[in-house]
Amino acid sequence: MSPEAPILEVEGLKKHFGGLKALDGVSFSIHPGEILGLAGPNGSGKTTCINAISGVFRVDGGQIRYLGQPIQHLPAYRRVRHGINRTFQVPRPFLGLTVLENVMVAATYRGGRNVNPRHILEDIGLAEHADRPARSLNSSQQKMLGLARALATHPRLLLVDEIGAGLNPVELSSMAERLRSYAEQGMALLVVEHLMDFLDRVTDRLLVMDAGNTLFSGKLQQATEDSRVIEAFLGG
Amino acid sequence: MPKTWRSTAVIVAITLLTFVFVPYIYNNQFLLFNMMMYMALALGLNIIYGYTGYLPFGYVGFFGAGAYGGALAITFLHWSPYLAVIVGGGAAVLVGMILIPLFRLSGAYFSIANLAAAEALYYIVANPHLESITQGPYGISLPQVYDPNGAYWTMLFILLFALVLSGFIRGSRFGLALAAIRENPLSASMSGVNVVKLRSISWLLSALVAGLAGATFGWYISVFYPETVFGLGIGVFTIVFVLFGGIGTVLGPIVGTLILYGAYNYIGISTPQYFQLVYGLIIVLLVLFLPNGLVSLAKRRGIDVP
Repeated sequence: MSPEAPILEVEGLKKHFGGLKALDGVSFSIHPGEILGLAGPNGSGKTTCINAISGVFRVDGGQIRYLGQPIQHLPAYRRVRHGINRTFQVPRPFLGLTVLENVMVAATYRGGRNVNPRHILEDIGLAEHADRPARSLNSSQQKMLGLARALATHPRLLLVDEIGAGLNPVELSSMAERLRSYAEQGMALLVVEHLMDFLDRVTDRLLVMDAGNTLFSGKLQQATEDSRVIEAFLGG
Repeated sequence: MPKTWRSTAVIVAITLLTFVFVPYIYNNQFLLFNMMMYMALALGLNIIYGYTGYLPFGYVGFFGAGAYGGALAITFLHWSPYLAVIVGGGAAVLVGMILIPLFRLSGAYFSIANLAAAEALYYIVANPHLESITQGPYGISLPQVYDPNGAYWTMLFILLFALVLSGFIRGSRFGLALAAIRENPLSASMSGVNVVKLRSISWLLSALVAGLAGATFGWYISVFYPETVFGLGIGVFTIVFVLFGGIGTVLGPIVGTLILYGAYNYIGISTPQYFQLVYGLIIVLLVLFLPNGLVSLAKRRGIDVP
């Protein structure tokens, strides 16, 4: 496909939990090599958006097209094998398994050619902890392990859910560089984040959500001057 | 070849030699038969509970389904008991398939629903209206195939099958995926693991082992009632044996059964009046001081347990 074609197109996505409309017709698209930021107040539907694209639940309406094909009916593991993966806001490692085994699961079951889990651990900086149980890692190491698990499936689209929260400034800027380098290799990223400075450093384009809808799309600087965005964050 | 596979081969060899030669010096065949049966059941339960993390309180339902499936094949189809044992395994797998929707539940809800399912199966089989098929509450009698030695060797074969199966799974990528499902099903599916499929396979393998054991048990004793093969005590014993030895390992269920079932029989014969007291104390001490079973003693010292 041409480089201009989006890797992911989301159109009119709807998801409700009982009476709450968590997603109320969200539409956007991401291109290969692009980093799209997703911001918005708590409960605006950012994580729900990631859950919908990664297949944690079925959506109630709308379409998710990946490489031009609708995927909203596919179970999560199939989407993973097609090249979609994610990290979790609260890390969910396999606590009783070793760090290496955590990555090995993903490297083994991704479908397609084998990935060496040790190389991924070296890249992510966890190689020295390979044989420790994941339970013994601290929370930012567990976040890195979650990223390593996602990378082991060789994603072409990576959904990153608040990976910056809880990282110190040094870790934050190396994380920003890391995400940028993935994009330079052609990966598309959707980055959900509260930390505006981090978003500014990482993203090409920003989407602001409120109450299940997209309020704004464009550059962060423009967003801070947009009256609807200010109202959503500060309450008008 | 993974290390687990080599250690399993050693365990298989020791088990084989033990149950081939012990009958020459100890002639209580029924006790040895039951020992093998509980070892097989413990290994079978371990596949779904230890490897995948779902605890079926009604595991005995598969055992009963196997006993009745085998008995019906002998009574109505006049098949040889060896074929009937396979039918028993198939009956348990069938029940397992029917129960797959239980996996929509998790934790204690799954366990309780499975217990209810096993009880339901018991009441269906024991129903007087089914007397023409299952003999209802009046029980099964299979004098035409009575052959304790044949059943003994069959049970040994089933035990070895359960051992090889457990060892193979533990050392394979299938076992790694089951462990991932046990630790975190959502992260497992985000690693490309087909959680629903692999969990179902481990469930049906677990059912198969119990069904084979149940059919062989029915053949061995040749006269039994619904409460004999659906008794919840069988399931509780199996769970305690697995926990005592150490869940999630190949060796744990074997050692747990050997010690606890051995102790059960020893105390039951020597000082039956203290039996429940001693047994209760063992379980209390286990839960308090050794929640991960005997094998955790070795693991703590850095010894790798297959």
